[in-house]
Amino acid sequence: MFRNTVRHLSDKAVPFLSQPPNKFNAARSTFNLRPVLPQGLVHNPPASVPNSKSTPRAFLPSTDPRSTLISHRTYSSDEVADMPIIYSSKADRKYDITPDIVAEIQQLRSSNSAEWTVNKLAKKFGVSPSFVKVTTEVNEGRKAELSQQQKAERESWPVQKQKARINRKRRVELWLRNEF
Amino acid sequence: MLRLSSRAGARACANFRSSIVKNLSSSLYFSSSSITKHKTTYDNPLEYGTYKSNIYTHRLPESTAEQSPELVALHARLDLPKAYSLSTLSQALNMETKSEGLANNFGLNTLGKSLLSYYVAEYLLIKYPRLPMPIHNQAIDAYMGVEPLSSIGKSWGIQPDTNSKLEKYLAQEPFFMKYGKLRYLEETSKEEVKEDGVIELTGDEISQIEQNHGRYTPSEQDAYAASVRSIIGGLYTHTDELTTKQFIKNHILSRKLPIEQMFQFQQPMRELVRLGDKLGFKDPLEVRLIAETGRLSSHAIFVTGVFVGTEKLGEGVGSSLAESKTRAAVNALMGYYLYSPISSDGEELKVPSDEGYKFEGIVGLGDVAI
Repeated sequence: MFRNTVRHLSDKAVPFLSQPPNKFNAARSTFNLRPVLPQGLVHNPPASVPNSKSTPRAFLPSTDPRSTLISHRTYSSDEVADMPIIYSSKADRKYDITPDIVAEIQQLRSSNSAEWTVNKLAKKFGVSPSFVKVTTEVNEGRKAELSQQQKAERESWPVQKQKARINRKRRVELWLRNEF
Repeated sequence: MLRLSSRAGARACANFRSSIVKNLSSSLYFSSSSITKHKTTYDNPLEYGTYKSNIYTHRLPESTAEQSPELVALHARLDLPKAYSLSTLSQALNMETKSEGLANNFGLNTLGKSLLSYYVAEYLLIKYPRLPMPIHNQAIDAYMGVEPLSSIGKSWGIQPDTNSKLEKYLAQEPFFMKYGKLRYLEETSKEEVKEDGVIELTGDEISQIEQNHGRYTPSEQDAYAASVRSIIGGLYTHTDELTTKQFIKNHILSRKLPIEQMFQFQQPMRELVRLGDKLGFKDPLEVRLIAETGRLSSHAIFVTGVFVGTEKLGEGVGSSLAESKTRAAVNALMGYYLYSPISSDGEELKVPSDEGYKFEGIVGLGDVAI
């Protein structure tokens, strides 16, 4: 019987091969690839955009049969440690801001928002700028003044630059919608 | 935000089923602007058969309904069971509140809407228990909102009755033809000369647009949607819950809904950190660079992953570190929100209205506050 699928084979029978073995030295001849493929089938899926519909194991509830049945791609701690960190959330976030400090921040920002900018306040009290934005209200006069300044600046830009800025905004929206 | 759990849904269904009494002839009447005020009296409030209305309405005789080719064709096209009478089908297409005294589709519409809301909500809550509230509401709208329902009605081949009495007379159109058409226009508006692509709005409609934040739903769309709901309501009154459920499954829930395209995040990384707190992850969230083509290459590509300890939550590809990081966070969030449970034997989950239903899925934890 002719089979056009390999589903009857267990996944151990078809070895996963992330990259073909090189005939030459892997380190010195990275750019001189002479693949030496093993006999038989290998599982080497093509590079593709990650699927948003597959649930990672950490998000699977314990009752879900897929948490044990499916073989998930696992990483050893060495492998993970080998990848450089780009961003990390703080393990121990502090929640030691008292109402007095918040009141002081609010008082400073409302009294002279031109001098006490968000970044300056954040630095002074050792909090994040977003914390300052959440706890204080925008000074409408200052906001109008700033947006007027920004608008004037934007209008002085050449057309190409204005277009590029708009396109950049649109591209970021694509990231946030998981579109390409 | 509050989220209806699937258990609560099951309870609501039981109450709902017991509250519907199958009687069509008396109470399905509505009069909004006729001169005599509509009043219903009854001997026993639990028996719809004893309900009496002060406005006399009658139902289309079956013999007249049978003469309308459009009605017979629609009945056959939708493959409705024999028990579904043509007169009810004609009633489902009648939106008129005043003329002729024929029963209109107000009651059938309400019944159909309740059935639809139940089955669509039950399906979505079981299939995607973690959807954020706004996406869930949008998904409900995408299945049973006015726009999709009206396009379903159009695809069923329902025709609106737009010809005036004079035009019908001149065309020698038999009187029973209109009983197979969607009747929602008043005689005066049928006589108006219409320009293609130009819609003249009444004062009421303009104020409605203001209430709906600038959204305008043409009365034709409303009428089509109501007729679809009424046909579903009519199916329930003539047959049983199972047949109606199958009909809704075939015509409404079978439509492809690309939920993964309905998301737009504002602060994905922050949302993911908060989600990690909510799920009680011990390790901090880390975005790590998995691979790159080389920063000085002509079109650099970066692949990053969001990790908790050694567990990868999501992966993103981008032409800058910022892009790949954002995409990785979005990918992780979508992986969480689009989770769809399966039963212990790997089959699709049963919904509460299915026979032999056992709660196997999950109840979502609710939205994440950023």
